[in-house]
Amino acid sequence: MEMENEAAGRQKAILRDELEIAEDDTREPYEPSRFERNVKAIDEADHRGVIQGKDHGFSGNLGLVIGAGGGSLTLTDAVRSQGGKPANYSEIGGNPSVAKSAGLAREVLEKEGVEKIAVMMSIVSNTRVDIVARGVIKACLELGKDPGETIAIFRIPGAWRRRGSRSSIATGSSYCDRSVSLWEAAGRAVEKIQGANP
Amino acid sequence: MSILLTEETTFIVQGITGREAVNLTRECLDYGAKIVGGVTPGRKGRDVHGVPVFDTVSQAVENHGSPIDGSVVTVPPAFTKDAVFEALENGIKLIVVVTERIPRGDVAQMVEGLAGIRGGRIIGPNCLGVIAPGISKMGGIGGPAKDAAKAYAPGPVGVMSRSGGMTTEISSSLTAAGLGVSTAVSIGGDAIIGSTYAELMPLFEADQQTEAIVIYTEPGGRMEAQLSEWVKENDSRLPIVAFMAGKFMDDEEMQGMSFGHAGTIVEGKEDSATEKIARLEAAGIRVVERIDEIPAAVKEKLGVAA
Repeated sequence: MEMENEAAGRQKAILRDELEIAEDDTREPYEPSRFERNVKAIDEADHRGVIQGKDHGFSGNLGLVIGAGGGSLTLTDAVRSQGGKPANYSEIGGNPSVAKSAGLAREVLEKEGVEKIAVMMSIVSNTRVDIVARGVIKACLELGKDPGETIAIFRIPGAWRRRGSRSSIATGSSYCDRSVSLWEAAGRAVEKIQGANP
Repeated sequence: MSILLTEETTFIVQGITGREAVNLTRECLDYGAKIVGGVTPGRKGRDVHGVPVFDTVSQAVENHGSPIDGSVVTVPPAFTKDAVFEALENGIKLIVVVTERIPRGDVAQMVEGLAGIRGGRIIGPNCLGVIAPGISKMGGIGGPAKDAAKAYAPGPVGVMSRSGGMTTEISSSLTAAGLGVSTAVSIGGDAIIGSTYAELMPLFEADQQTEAIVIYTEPGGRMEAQLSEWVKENDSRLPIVAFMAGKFMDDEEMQGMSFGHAGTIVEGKEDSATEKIARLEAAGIRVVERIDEIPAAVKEKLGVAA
C-alpha cells in the first residue's frame, strides 16, 4: 500500500490499526543520513521558512545552499555539468530565520569532505536573501571558518538584495546578482573550488 | 492581450488575513490588480490594506454587487478543497490555489470534480499564480510590484512553469534580452494540478500577443508527454522552447526519491528527464541544455536578431 505524506494526517486509523505504523513513525523509503535527519530537525524546530537537505547519492566537496525547489534542481545540474561535485542537495525558502539559515549552512559545512559552500538563490519572490546571507556567514564564523574563503559564491538576486550584498561583500565573498545567470554562478563556484584544488 | 487576466479582472483572496496573504494582497494591489474582497471566517468587518474582509465568499460577492472573476486561495491544506468549492459555488471561474501539501484526493475532487461541473479553471495548487505584465497579477508571482515590474516586461513570450521561482527567473532573462512576456503562469509543482501545459496551450494559441512559448519542466508526471501529444495533434502556430531541470535525478541511486516539488519524483522510466527530453524533441520542441540559452533559442525561433 502506498500513502502520500499529505494524506497521512487523515488516515491515522488505517496507519495505526491496519498497518501497525505508529503516529511518530518516521520511516522513509531508505534510512535517512545524519545530515538529512539534522536538517529535518532544524526545519521542524522553527515554523518560519522551509529548509530541506538530502545527501543520498552525493559525496562531493562543494556544499550547496540553494533557494527554491526549481532553482535547486537547476543549480545542482549546473554544478555537475560544469565538473563540480555537489556534497548535497538543498532548498531554502519561505522566509526562514537567520538561525534556520545558519542551521542548514552549518550542517552542510560539517559534512565530511566539504571544502567550500555555494549560496545561490533564484529570483525568489518572498525570501529575504539578506537573512539567508547572514545565516550562512554566522555558520562560517561559528565553525571558525573564514567566510571570504569558505563561501565560493553568493548569488542573491531576490528581495532585500542590497542588504545581502553588503553582508557578503563585507566578508570578502564573491557576490553576484541577477545579471549573472544560474549557470554562470554555478560555473564560478566550480572554478573557485577547482582553483583551490589544482 | 494576455491570457486569463485583463485590467478589469476582479478577484478575492481567501485566507486574506494570513501572513503570506497579507503580503501578496499588498503586492497585487501595488501592481494594479482589482482585489474586491477577502475572506477569513470570523473576521468580517476588518480590512487588509483597504480590502474589506468577509466571513464567506457569498458575502464578498453580495458586497461587490456583481460576479467576481477570480480567487486566490491561501488557506491551510485541510481547508483548501472546501474553500475552492465555496468559490466555485459562488460563480467564481478562475481559482489560483497557492497552498501546498494538499492531499491528492482533495486536489482530484477540485480539479476533476466541481471545477469541471461549474466551468471553472484552477491554476495550481502549490503555485505562485499568474501575471500579465503591465496589466495585473494574481498571487505572489514576481514578488513586490517594483520587483515584478523589473522581471516582467510586456512582450511576445508565454511562460509556463512547474516552479514559481523559475517562472520569474526565466521571465527576467526574457525581459533582460529585450523579449518580454505576454503572460506567465506558475502552474504548480504537485503531481496533480488544475491546468497543465497542454490545457493552457489553446489559450496562448488564441492570444494575439503571444508568439512563442517557454516551459520550465522537471522529472515526474505525464504533463510533458501530454504537451508533446497536443503539439503533434494540433497545428500550433507557436514555437516552444523547453528547459528541463533535475537531470541528476536520472542517476540510478536517485530513483524513487522526491526532490524539490511534491510531483518531482522518478518512479518509472517515463518520468525521467532523459525520456521527457526525447518526447519533447520528437514533437519538435526545442529543449535547451542551459537555462541561460532560453532567450537566444526563442529569438532564433522568432527569427529575431540575437
